[in-house]
Amino acid sequence: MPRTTALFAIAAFSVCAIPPFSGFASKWAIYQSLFQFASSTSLPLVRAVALIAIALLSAVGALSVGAFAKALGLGFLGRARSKVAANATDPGGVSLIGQSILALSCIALGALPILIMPLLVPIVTLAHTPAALAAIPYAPTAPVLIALALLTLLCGFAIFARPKTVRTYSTWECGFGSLAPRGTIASGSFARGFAGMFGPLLRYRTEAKIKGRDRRHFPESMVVETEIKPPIETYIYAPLLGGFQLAGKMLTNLQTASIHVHLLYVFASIFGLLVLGRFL
Amino acid sequence: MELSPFQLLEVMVAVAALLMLGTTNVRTNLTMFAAHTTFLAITAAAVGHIRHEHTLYAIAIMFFLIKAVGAPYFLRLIMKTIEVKLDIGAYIPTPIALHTGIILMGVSYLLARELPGAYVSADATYGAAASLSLIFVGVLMMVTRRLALSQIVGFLVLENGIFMFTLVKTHGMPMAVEMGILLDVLVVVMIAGLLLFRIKKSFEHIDVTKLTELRD
Amino acid sequence: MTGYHVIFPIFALSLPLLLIGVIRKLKARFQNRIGAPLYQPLIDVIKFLKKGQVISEHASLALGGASALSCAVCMLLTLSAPWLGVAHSIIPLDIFTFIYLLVFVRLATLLVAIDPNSPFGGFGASREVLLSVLVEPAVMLCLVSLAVAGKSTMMSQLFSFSDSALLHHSGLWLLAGCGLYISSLVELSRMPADDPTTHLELTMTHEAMILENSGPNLAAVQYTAAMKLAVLLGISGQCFLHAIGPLWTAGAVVQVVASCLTVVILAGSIAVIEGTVTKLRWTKLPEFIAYAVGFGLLCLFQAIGGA
Repeated sequence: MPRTTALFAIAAFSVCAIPPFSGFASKWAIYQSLFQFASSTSLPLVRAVALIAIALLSAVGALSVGAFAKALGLGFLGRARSKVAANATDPGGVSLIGQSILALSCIALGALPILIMPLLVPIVTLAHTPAALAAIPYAPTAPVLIALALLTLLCGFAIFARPKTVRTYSTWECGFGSLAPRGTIASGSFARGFAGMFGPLLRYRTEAKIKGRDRRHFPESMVVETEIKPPIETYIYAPLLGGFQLAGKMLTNLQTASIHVHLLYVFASIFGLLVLGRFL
Repeated sequence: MELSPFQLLEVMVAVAALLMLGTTNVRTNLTMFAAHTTFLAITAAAVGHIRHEHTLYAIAIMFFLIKAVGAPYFLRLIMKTIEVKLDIGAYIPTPIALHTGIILMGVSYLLARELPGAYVSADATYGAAASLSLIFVGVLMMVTRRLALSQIVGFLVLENGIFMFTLVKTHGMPMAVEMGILLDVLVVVMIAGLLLFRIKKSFEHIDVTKLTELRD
Repeated sequence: MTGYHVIFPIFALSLPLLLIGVIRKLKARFQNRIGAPLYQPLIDVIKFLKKGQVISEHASLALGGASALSCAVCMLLTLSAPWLGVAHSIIPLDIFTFIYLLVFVRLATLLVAIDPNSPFGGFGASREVLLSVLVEPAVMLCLVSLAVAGKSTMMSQLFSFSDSALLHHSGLWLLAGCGLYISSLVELSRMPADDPTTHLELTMTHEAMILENSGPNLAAVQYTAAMKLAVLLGISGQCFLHAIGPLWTAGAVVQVVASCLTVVILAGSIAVIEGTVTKLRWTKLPEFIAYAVGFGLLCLFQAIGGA
């Protein structure tokens, strides 16, 4: 699915705040505002908090790069990991037009933040003393875009042009023969490194069950299970959603298919409004 | 924060000691301790130069010889004899120990601003902050490391911190007291080394957590 | 278009390969070999450009495209970042753009690793993500502390020798230089974080990611690695140079010559480290990176303390 991959790649690059896309323009504005906040105050504690916020934001950015490299790489690139994925094709014209509009806006808003930033000035001046904010700086993405485009053309020419012999061969697999799709990196194994780093927070657990007569040297079956229990999803979101579902179920009892009950509802509400209108 | 060269030297003393917290490799710890004590000896010589007290030169040289050359060399001999290369472990992970040390350095700066009395330069906050942070780092090492050798190094850093504090903030201790303290430190390190050797021979380990159990 | 505008790009784009040559030559000396001549990496790149390619049957256009993109970004960085003591740049570069262009290179490298469906590329990419999460805050803390002390985020202004706000902050420059140097060792996959000449796939981090490249692709990847080395070492070298007070008042020629010498000396130091130090165990690597974060925190204190 080359076209969808390319459009998703533009979106992934934008989320990871890669210049010159729109995500970078907005993240740059956040960084600059934190920096100006840190520079303008002289209280050490406030300055420390602002600068540590900048550092944490960059760490989060690195995590998002990992997440989207995984999404893009494992979802769209390499070998298909299931039959369904192997048979997937690009959607029809209209879906592609929708995706393309969004991707183009990523590039346009990224390269020309001037389109959006002046609209934010009234909001910012409400929150600031107006004198402190002379002008909102814009991310310098337009020159980056132009320079990158030119240089990419140059490098792409060096790599792809001039017909050279291109031989197709199998991926390096240490001489074991062609790998099954199961032998490639999967999302669980890709995430093992940095999920392990957040292990105590995410309750990350890996369990390996190895079976065979000689488990160490000649295993016959190996099952590896990983489990993540993210605290926010488990203890906050799940009960909330369960509560909503329960409330919804209880409300369905009110919705019978009987026309008498519905007429009763209509008259009851009119009666109630008349009573309220008389006494208020 | 603009630092004069002397203040930069004081800060480097504190930073070199801080770097010891981040690794459990005993050889690296001893090398960093030697570097840190060398910086401290240079600081003592610099104070002697600024205040024109020539006894401080002698103190600086003795300090360098005993604590920057003698003690690490002796501890390295002990390390080879009892065959330990890596600290068995620390109670908290070493990156967290390093970051705690850095935060304590910030705390010591805030504390040092309140201390009165300036001896060497008009603004002695950096010297006092560095020495307080040395005391904190030494105590942190003694509290969190399990190997007895690392605890000796922590004690030596604590000793360095007290020495630096008297150097920077007060008139410095009299020559006789300084010599006495240095000799005491030398003897303490030797005795501790011999004790370690005996402990290792009797118990086959020098893990202080296991030494809390009484044998019948 | 003065002569300077022609000479500087050529010089800046060819010095990285010379630095790789210096590292290899010095490392060979440590191993009692004569070693290849200093210009060997340049000849290697030209040789690879002319060769044919062997592409995995599962790879797509992303393999060559991402390599081209990362090479282009690195060229942009080489021509704009003040790694040679020259404040001239083709785009206005501030510290956040600098860091995120490096993130661009990392993302492109991850895609190059995952695309050919290689398991080694996959777990190399996973390791690289883990290391980057730990290294990013260190680099950001060092650079942002410099920016707060220098009251500006433009790199050309911070690293020029005329910003009087940063003149006497020798401690800050020294600590930032140490932090950036240790982070560079990890980001460039040099010892003690990763052995660049290992042939054992299970110990690779960076090599595993470029296993499937050949021909012009490999030329682009090697050139990208060289340029990244030059820029990162150059920036940390500039931090060390700025700590030397008398250099600020010397002429521009002296500063440029000192910058080039510093970059070569730092490359030599990498060779010394590779010749004498063994690779750290994978589980010990976060401890090593904690040193870089520690230096970043010390820079942070310096930045907070100043008014």
